[in-house]
Formats: sequence, structure tokens, C-alpha cells
Amino acid sequence: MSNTQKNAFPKWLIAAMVASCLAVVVLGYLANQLLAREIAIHREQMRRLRLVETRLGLPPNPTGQPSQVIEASTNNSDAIRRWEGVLAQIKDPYIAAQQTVLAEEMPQVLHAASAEADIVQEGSFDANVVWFQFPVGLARFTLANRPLLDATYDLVSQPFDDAWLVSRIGYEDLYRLRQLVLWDIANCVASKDKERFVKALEGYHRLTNHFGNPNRGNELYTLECLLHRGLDEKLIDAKIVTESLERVAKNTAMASSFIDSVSGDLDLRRANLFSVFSNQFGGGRAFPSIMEAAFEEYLYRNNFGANFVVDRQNDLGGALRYFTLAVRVALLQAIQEQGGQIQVPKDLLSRLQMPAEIQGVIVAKLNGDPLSTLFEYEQKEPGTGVLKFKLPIDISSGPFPIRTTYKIQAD
Amino acid sequence: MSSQATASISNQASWTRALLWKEVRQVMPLMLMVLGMGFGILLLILITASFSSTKGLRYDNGFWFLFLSMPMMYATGVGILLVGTEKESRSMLWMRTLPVGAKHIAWNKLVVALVSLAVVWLIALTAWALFATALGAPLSVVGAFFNSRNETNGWLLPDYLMVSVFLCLAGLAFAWRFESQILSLVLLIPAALAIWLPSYGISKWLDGRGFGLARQSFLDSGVYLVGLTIGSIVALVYGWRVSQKALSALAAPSQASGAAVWSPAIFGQATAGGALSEARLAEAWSLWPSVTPLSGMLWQMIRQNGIWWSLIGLLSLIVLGIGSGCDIKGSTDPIDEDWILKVLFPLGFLSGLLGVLAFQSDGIQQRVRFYADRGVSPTLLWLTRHWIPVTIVLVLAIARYLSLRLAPWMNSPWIFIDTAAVLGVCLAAYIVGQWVSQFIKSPILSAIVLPAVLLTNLAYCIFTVVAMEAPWWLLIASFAITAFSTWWMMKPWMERRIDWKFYLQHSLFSLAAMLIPLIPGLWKIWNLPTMPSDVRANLQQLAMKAPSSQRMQKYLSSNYLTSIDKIDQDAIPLVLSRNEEIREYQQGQVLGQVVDPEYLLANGDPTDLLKIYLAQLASLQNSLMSSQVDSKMDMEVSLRKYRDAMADLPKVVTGLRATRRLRLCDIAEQIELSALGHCKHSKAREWMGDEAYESVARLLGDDQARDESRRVALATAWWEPKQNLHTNRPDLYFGLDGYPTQYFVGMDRRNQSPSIPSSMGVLRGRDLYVADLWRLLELPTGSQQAAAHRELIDSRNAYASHTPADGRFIVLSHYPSLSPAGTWRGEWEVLAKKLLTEVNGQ
Repeated sequence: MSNTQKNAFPKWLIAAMVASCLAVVVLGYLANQLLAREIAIHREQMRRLRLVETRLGLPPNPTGQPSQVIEASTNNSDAIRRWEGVLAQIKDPYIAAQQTVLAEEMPQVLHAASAEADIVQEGSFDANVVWFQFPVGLARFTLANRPLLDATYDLVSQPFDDAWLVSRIGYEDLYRLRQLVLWDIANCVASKDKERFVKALEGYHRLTNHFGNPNRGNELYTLECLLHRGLDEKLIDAKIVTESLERVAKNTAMASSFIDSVSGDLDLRRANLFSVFSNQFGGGRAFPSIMEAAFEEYLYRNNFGANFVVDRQNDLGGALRYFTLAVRVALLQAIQEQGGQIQVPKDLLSRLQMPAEIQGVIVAKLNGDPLSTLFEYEQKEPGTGVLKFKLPIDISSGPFPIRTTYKIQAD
Repeated sequence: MSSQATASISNQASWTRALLWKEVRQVMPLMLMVLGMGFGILLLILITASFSSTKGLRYDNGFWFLFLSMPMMYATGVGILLVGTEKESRSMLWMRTLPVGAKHIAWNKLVVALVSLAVVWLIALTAWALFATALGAPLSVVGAFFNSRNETNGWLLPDYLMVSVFLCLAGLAFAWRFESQILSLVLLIPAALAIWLPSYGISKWLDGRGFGLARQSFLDSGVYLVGLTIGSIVALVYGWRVSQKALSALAAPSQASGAAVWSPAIFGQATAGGALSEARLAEAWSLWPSVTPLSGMLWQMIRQNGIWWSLIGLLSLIVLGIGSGCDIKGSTDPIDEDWILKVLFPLGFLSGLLGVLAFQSDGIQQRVRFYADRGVSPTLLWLTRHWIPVTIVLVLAIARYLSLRLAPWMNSPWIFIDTAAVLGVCLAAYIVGQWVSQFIKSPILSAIVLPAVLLTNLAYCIFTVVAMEAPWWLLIASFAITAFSTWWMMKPWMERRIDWKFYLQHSLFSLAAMLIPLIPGLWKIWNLPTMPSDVRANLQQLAMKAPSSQRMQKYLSSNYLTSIDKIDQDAIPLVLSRNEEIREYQQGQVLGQVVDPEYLLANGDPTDLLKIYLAQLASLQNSLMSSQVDSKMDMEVSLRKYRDAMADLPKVVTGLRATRRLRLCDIAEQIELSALGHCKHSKAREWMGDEAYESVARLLGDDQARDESRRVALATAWWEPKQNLHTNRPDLYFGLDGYPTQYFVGMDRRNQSPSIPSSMGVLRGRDLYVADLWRLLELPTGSQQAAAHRELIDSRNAYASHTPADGRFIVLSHYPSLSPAGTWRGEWEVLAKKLLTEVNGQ
């Protein structure tokens, strides 16, 4: 009798049974783990959506009546009508068309003659944009819009505390308005209109103050370049520049704190992005973990991960433009106060007014060197000299250039 | 010629006809199945496309492969089917008793195989040409069967033709040679590789020898073509020889191969040693003290399929080894394409093969009747047929899990999902395979059509999930019904009662399995609301009263220039000057010309002209305001212009309303809204003059006239595209006077997929949008119901701007409006009525 005859149930059959039972048990365990994990992810996703609903949802207005703020805003009816008029005019397709043309960047002109060392060193103020290259066109444009600009300056000079109005004016309109004001300043430089320069500058700051700081890049670069130009042409004095810089710093800080307040709550920000994403991805029809992974991919592809923390460390160009202005006015003020006999950099650095944030951006690039290594002042005679900047990056070309060498002369 | 000879020839001709007819009947089920599945998938694609896109189906190169798959699949199976069916039903022995020569039999099969293949090619190519031409593909694409800039790609068609001929001839040869038809089928893979690999190697060798891209492409196709031709000739000659050998040696097995255990199972020609071994094993088995039916049936199953299971298991492990490098999560897409191609497809196919084996061995030569005659429980038989293969599938899933766990780069949370997906797909494919092996009586045919059935199932699953919004878990129920159906049908199948009742019952189960995932989508379609009939009748009546005004080109449009040539610096001042000139021209013209609505119609985008018009009114008002502050300013000119413009304003509005165009009526309301803002200035009456002020106030306060114009414009925008559907562009039909309509009733507007229910909802959305707007006009101005209904409309409209026209701060949106009737029943109408009351009271 063979071995198989001893056992009614052959070994391979037992092995097959054991294998199948084991397979069922193992897969059951895996399925349990899978479900537990999916449920946990789903709960987390639901928590995020609820968080968005409770934190970012609009507060209920059970009465259905217009809020108190709206009523308050209608008290000054004529001012409201005037704002309506300004915004109706700024939407004229003519303004959009001309602004598009004037804001165009031109090809960088290579100056064959600038191969000489000292010209390159000095830099230039040849902004390669249409509004700078074609001052006649710019002048026609700003003059054509002068009533609109005057109305704007007039409106922003009045007391203004209407949060409702601020919320109703769109970003695009504000952008166009602010652009128009900046070009009004630029036109003042070309036409040497000192009075209007100050008025337009004030208008710009008030607009920024009322409606927030929408653009921390190009717009500020333009303003800083124009302030340099105003100083060059003696349209403004060091005091106005100092005030302007303070206001730029203040508005920037306000904008930063606003961004911080939003981005500080990373969880909320992430939840908000998830809410947007889940609508695009197909709601709750996907497996929670697949949706989560796709969400991570979405964050990665749109670079939202990096944007969770506001990156202020990269705006070295803006910080350096600010720095050159601050150094220049500090130098002028020191010369004025001390009658031309100054100790550089000691007197200069003691007066240098720069927000810690902007200073931090520059210092981070200096590998421990002091700020004084970025400039040198060569005094020719009391009250006169040459200020030269040695900056870690070139900001003397492009659409927002500044000079790197300035002749300083006390008034 | 003698009469005897004549009779013999006539006799032979009738035999030939009968034999040919028999062969044709043998291949007909395969032909119908292959064509049916190909066109079935095409039908699913057409249904989905017709609903998911307003522009219908678009030409895509991928469609070619659908048509190509039909002859390819047919070529794979036809040779094996022609010979295998005879072997399976033992009819070859009977044929040998007839006065028909072996050559005649083999020749008939060869001719039928090739001719029927040509017929399938003809049908597929004709259908492809018609289909591609109907989709608007250029004739060159249809002719070359490839949309390629490279003309040499046209050579791929002869390649494909030759591939099918090779598969057909090789299949025929293998079927003559081997008893196991599955083996014949499987051997086609190495045979095809034996042709493709050398051709590929030669092409690679030739590559980079400076032939140029076009010539290289030509050479690649040519080399493969030559390889296939040689392979086909070899298969033809070899097939002919083995067919003659097989037909002449039907009396007794002549092959004496080794006594390997797998030999009889594959070759079916039991060697003396094999037969002895088999007999001994059976004897030993019968001597066991108590052989349970369960272990007996399992034993038989393992004996019959052990080798195939081992082979499939081995191949699966190789697939798992290759696939361990990729997982479900893609780097660019949520699901990795490599994972689908390298893991899911092969494992799914192998699991389907496992499924086909479940009942196949019992079906061969009707072995299952042995159990049926002895009263074996169908349930027990069903369980024993599935036990081991299902265990194999489970083990494969565990192996997949372990292989992923061992991979250091694998993200652990994804391992679960990956394993679950692999297990799900394998089980689904297995269920389909076992269903095929029971539903199709012929084991050979079931094995041949398995890939097509698997692909059809896949297409249907995608259709249900994507096009019919079926939740994925409902597919589990669908496959469970398919598995249940084979258990339910075991008894008639065992008793070989495979008649119309059998097919009817199976079909009902299949229908249930197909319908279950469709239920949510069908329910959604059923519940889609429609436009109320009374609203429809009112709209039609209004729209048919008078047509809307036709556009006339009386005015020349002058658009601003925004594009400049940066290199040509002389051109830039010209562009700037030109824009200034246009502005100056418009300052003198627009306020006067805008009274004629044709001026707005003639100027491209009327929104731009509206902006210019409102900007100029604001500019004049601004001058008047400034003159209040600065007494030096001369306000006479501005005042006169302002008065004229405001006096003309009612004419502008009524003129726009009279066009019966919804978009222009909306523009008229924007002008009214702006006029309300002008009227609200404390000096408005003084600046406008009493007459103009009162005229504007009366216009603003006349809500009945405004509502009437709204109704007419709405009806016209809704009705006219319906009338011109065949003459105009179809896409106009989906909008309302140029406004796009994306209106979702009973659906979440944020969560739309290109599915059939959603598309049908969107198609009805236009009517429902119009009905809702009509209802809005029936609600009293300023009422809470009107506000609530307005909110409801905005919540359903994908393009809603959500900017309330409250009349307190009147600013035109910077962006062009994408939804009509944005100002209807806004709070501004209450303020306008109030203004009229104030004027009347004074």
C-alpha cells in the first residue's frame, strides 16, 4: 500500500486548503488595514472641508437687510458718485490699450560705446520700456487723463474710512489707476513739474494706503526708480523721499502682516486649497487615498507647498533699490546737518532708515559682510562727492534701472 | 467522358460544397463575435461621445486600432477553431470515413480560413474608411490608415495584413499538430516573437547606418514584412505536412514520446508509459478507503489543469517581478500608465485564462456528464472548479503586496490600494473568464474569444463609471451577479442542456449585471427636470411675434491697437498716436451715434462701446464736479454736452430694447443702472435740466416696459437658435444670444463630469435657465421671493458673477459678463421706482 493510501485526504489537498485559508486570512487583514486607513483619510478630508466652511464661509445674514456698513457708505452720496465716475473712466478701452502699449518692454539696447569701464560702472537710467523711451506718447496719455487723475487725487485726499467701498473696487481697476498715477509721476520727471510730482506721489501713497498694497514687485521698483529720478532732477528733496520710503515700508509691512495672517494658518490654507481641488477632482467619487495623493501632486505642481510660507527672501532687487535710496537720502541729510563734513560710513549708517525685513534680505546675501561694503563715498570737497554702489546683483539695467554712481551735492 | 466519371465529379463537387459550408458554419460564431464586440465597443464610444461633447466625436488615430483588432483577433482564433472543433467533437474520424481525401479536407480548411479572414478584413477596412471619413478625417489618412506626416507609415498596413495571415496559418498548423487547443493558442505567442525578434534585431542593426529617417522607416516595415512572409510560408508548409500526417494517422497513435507526466495532458496522445502511469494512479486512488467526492473532483481538476495553472502562476510571478518597479501612483497622472500596462493588463489576462480553465476541461468531450449522471451536487462541482484558481488569484495578490513591501522606494500607504486594485481586477477578469467558459459551449471558442470579452468588459466598466457615473463599488455587485450566474446555471450545464433556455437565463443574468451599474445614472436622467409647458408656450408665442433685428454694417469699427513691433521703434509712436486719435474721434462721436442701436451692433463687442459710452458720461460729470471746486474752469461746454447726452439716454435705452436682443437689452440695463447713479448725485437735476432728469427718471421707474422688453428678448434668444439649428452653427444652440449656458438643476454645478447624465442635464440646462428667468420676472420687484430666486439662479449658473446690482455703488464689471440678465430684479429697480416717486411728488 502506498503512502497515499494511509490518508483519505491527500497532503497536497491539505496544503491547498491551508494555502487558500491563509490567503483569505492575510487578505482579510490587509483589507481591514486598507479600510481603516481609507476611513482615517476620509475623516481628515471631511475635517478640512468643514474647517473651510466654518472659517472661510460668509457669516449668515438672517435679516436679509443691507448691512450697516452699506448704509453708512451711502451717506456721502456725491463722493460715491465720484468714485463711480473714476472707475467708469478707468474702464475706457482706450486706457487699457494705451497702458498695454506703454508697459511693453523693449529689447535691451547694447551700447557699443559703453565698453568703457567707467560708463558701465555708472549704469544708466535707460529703462527699456515704451513709457520711458517715448516721453511724448507718455505725455499725451497722462495729459488726456489729467481730469481723471485730478479727480482721483482729490478723492483720496479726503477722509476715507469706508471699508465697504474698498471691498467693492476691483483689483484690475486699482491696478490701472495706480499705473496711471505712476506714469503721471514719470511724466512730471520729463516735464520737470515739481508741484505735480509731489501731488501725484502723495496720491499714489494714499491710494496704496486706502486700498492696500497689491503689488510688491514691479510697481515698487517703478516708484523707487522714479524717486531716484526725482532726486536727480531735484523735483523732490530728501525729506519727501524719506517719507515716501517710510510709507512704502509701512504699506509693505501691512501687506506682509496680512499675508502672514492668512498664510500663518497653514492648516486653514491647506484646507482651503483642498476644498478647491476636491471640486475639480470630482468630489467624493474617488478613493480617499487616491484623492489625497492627487492633491499632494496638485500642491507640488502648482508650487503651493513653497507658497505656504511667504517667501520674502528672494526680492533682493527690490531691497537693493530701497537701500540705494535710503543711503542716498541719509547721505544728503548728513551733509545738510553736518555742513558737508561727514564720516563715511559711520554718519551714514547711523541715519540709515531701513525696515529690518529689507535689511535682512540684503544681509542674507552678504555672507556676513557689513552693509558698508555695498557703497563708498568719495568726498571731493565739503558738501560734494561721488556715491558709488557695489551691489551683489546688477540692477542698473532692464525696465527698472537705477544708476550705481551718483553725484552728491548739498543744496 | 463516361457517365460514371461525370457522376463522380458531380459527387465530389457536392461534397466539396457541403464541406465548405460546414467549415463556414464553424467559423461563423467567431466571426460574428469578433465583429459584434468590435462594433459594440464602437457603439459605446459613440454613445458616450454624443452626450459628452457638444461638438460630437472627433477623429483620433486610436480608433484605427479598434478596427484593426477585429481581423487580428479573428486571425488568432480561426485556424485553431477550424481544426480544434473537429478534434473536440471527434468528427474528424467520421470525415475520414467519407470518400474525401485528406488533402481535400486540409485544403478546404485552409481556403475557408484565408477567405473568411479576407472577409473580416474587408468589413473592418470598409467600416474604418466610412467611420474615418464621417468624422472628417482627410482621405489620405483613410487611405494610409495612419495620420502621419511620414508617408512610409503606409507600409504598416501590409505588415498588419501579413501579421494576420501569419497568425491564421500558424494557428492552423499548431491546431493540426497538437491535441490541446489551448496550447496551440499559447504557442502563437512564441511563434510571433520568433518572427518579430529577429526582424527587430535586424532593424536595430540597420538603424544608424545612415539610411535616413524615411528610408529607415521603410526598411523597418520591409524587414518585418519579409519575416512575416517567410514565417507564413513555413507555417503553411509545416501545417500542410502535419495536417496530412494527422489525417492519415487517425487510426492509431504513432508518436512514442517520453513518459513525462505533462505529455498526455498536452498532446492527448497517451504514450504507453503515460497510460500505464495514469492507470496506476487511478487504481491507487480507487483503493483509498474513503474517497470523498470533494477530493475526487479536486483531484480531477488538478490533474487536468495543473500544468496550465503552474504555467499561469509562473507567468504571473514574472509579471509581478517586472511590475514590482511600478505602482499605482503615477508621477504625472494620478494613476500610473506603466502600472496599467505592465501589471494590470497582463495579470488581468492571465486571471481571465485561469477563469476559462475553470469549466473548460469539463466541457471537452462532455466529461462533465460523468458527474451529472452520478448525481454530483452542482454546487460542489462549482466550488471545486473555483477553489484552487481563486486561491491562486489570492496568492498573487499577496505576492504583489509582498513585492511592493520589499521595494524600498514604495510609499507604504499606496501598497494597500495597489494590492486591492490588482486583486479586484484579477478577480473580475477571472469571473469573466469562467463565465465565458460556461456560456460558450465550445471550449476552443471560449478560449479564443476570451481577450475580446475581457476587453469588452473593460470598455463597459469604463463606460459605466465615466459615462454613466456609476460608483466603482457597484461594479462589485455586477461581477458578483456574473459569478452567481455560473453557479445557478451549473445544473443545466452539467446535464448539457445547452439550449435557448440556457442562453436566455444566462442572458438575463448578464443583463442584470450590466444594468445594475447603470441604475444611478439612469435614475439621474429620469429625474432631470424639464421646462414647464406653460412657460414654453408663452415663450414661443412671444418669440414668434416679431423677429429680432438683423445686424447691419452701417458703421465702421475703429479698434484700439495694442500690439506693437518692438524692433521697429518708429512704429511705436504711430501706434500711440493712432490710439489717441481714436479716442479723440470717439469723444466727438460716440455720445451722438450711440442713439442708433445699429452703432452698437456694428462695433464688434458692444461691451467695449458700452464702456466708452459710460466713461464719457462719467468724464462729463467729472468735469462738472471739478468746476464746482475750481471756479476758473469753464463748465459751459461740458454742461451742454452732458445735458444732450442725458436727454438722449432714454432713446439709447429704448432703441436697444427694441432690438429684442438679450445681450443688447442687458447693455441697456447697464446704461439704466449708470443713469441711476448719475441721477443720485445731489446736483443731478441742475446739471441735466428738469426735462432730461424727469425723462430719465420716468424711464428708470417704468418697470413694466422694462419687464416686457426682458420677456421678449428672453423668448427671442431662446427661440431663434432652435429655428435655425440646421442652418446656423450648432454651438449657438447651446447659448443664449451669445452667452454660454452652463446651468445645473438638481446637480452640483461644481462637480461636473463629462458623463451622459451630466451632459443631458447641461443640454436641458438652457431651457431650465430660461424657465427660471421667466419665473423671476413673475416675482414682484424688491420682494424677498425675487431675491431668493435670483440667488437660486446664480447658484445653478456656472458663469454667475455674484455681483449684486444693488444700485448703491454702480460700477460695471471689468470683465465681460458671461451670464445674461445679471441686473434682473436687482435692488436697483426699487431705487429707480423710488426716484420716479420722488420726481412725481415734486
